[in-house]
Amino acid sequence: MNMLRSIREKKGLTVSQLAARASIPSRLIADYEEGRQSIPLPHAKLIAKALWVQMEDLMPPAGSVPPPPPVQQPAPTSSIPTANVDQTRPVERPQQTLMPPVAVDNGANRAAPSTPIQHNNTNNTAIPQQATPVASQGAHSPQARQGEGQAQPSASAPAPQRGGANRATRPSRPLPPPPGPLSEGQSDELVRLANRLDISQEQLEERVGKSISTLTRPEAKDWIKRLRAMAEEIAPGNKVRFGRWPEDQEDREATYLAEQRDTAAPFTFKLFDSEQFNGIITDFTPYTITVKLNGDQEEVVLRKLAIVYYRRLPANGDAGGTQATQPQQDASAGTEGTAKKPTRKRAAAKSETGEEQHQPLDEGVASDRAGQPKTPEKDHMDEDRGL
Amino acid sequence: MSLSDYIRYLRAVKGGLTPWEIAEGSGVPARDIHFIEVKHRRVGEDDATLQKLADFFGVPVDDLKTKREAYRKLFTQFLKESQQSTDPVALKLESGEELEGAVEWYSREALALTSGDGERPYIVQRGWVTNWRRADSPRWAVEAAGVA
Repeated sequence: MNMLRSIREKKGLTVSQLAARASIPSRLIADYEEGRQSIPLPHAKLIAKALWVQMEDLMPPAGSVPPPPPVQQPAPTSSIPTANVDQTRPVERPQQTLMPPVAVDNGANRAAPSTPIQHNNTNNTAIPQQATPVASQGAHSPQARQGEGQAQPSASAPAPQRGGANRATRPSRPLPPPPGPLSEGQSDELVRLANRLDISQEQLEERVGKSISTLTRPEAKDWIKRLRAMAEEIAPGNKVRFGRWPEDQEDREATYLAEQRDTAAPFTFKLFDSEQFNGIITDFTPYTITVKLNGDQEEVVLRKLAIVYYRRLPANGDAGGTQATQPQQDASAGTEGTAKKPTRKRAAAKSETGEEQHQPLDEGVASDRAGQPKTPEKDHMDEDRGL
Repeated sequence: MSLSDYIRYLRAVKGGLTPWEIAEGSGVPARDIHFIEVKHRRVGEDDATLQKLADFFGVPVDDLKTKREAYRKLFTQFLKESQQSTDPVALKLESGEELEGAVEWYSREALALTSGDGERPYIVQRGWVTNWRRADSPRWAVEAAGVA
């Protein structure tokens, strides 16, 4: 019957797990499941979030909500001793524990489904039997249970009708105060948002349905939220959020690399130590580019940090030339791959070149490709110097 | 290459020093190193600090000072303007090379320079750009500090 419990069990959570996830004491969760309390809105939000459902899913289907038992109010436990003495008092409020509600001279209280609620006035026959042992001492749960046990058979018939009578006589809980008018800040914000969205105040009031000053606080809050969402759609905020920069919003290089990878165009890559690699881009990450070298089955992974620039080659396979002033000679291309392997740190790559990054490469570098014949790329480079 | 890039590069060259090790060796607190490398606001880049860092890394202090002027935001601003006006620009790279072209697009780490045929842009990694200017202007944006 209770939606919360069925959802919780469907999700395979225990009460204490749900309580931990929702940061709500587990006895409250149990109360909500038992129907002893109705779930207040802030807790409903937390519980829905903890169960990964919408808040609406916690509501019981329409028409099936049982009337809340009249005793379901958080109560100071201090009232119990006095109620024991007072015979005319109807039902007694439960303690805030999982223990069943304290029995009173009138009989036992329980949530509606189980034990019926008894009214002192009409149950005079049944009550005196149990009242005396209970009333003579302080109300006490174990005794209450005993009292209930005796009371049940005799009281089951008349009890359900009593519930309504009980509720009528007790003082009802005060309603929450009606929402107040909107604050000055809210009305200012509404005007500001209207300006931002280029609608006049009259148009805004039309949309809202009434003039701004007659909005209540929660209504104003709701409208502000809506207008802000609209404003965000139209003109994404030019406020830089902390830690983000406009250039971060789209990785233009990634789209370019994706295109080039798909078209499998030949590329040339120039590294900081003047090495050059020619090949096809087969893959890339935010930090590296994987290149399948010309005439090789091998792929090298180049770190973007080590690349100075790269460029697509014309379709006929000639290398795109290097431009004007290049003070250093090309180091032997491709044989000493200091910038290659992803496991090697960039530091290791750079330290081998010494302090000046454009010194020619030291031949003594241990490399997988050392000693292999020079790859054909070098030839292309020399041809096209004149560009 | 801005100062932040350069400090990071120097750290790598020396075998991957941590800011703490630099602090020990140079007397520059690790927090300042972090600020120089990471913060978008330019903090901690005063001359005394740069002098200590230059001594520690063994590079001329003017290198650092020049690169201090070439901070990232400045370059980004330049790229943004050039992209909008589509005027050709010239970029000087760390290797000494110069590339010319129009800025097709730029991102945080890279930019695309299209020369004659717009089909084959140079994709330049921004960290390796030392200086920039508009193609029709003879003056580089970043004046070398203390140049003779």
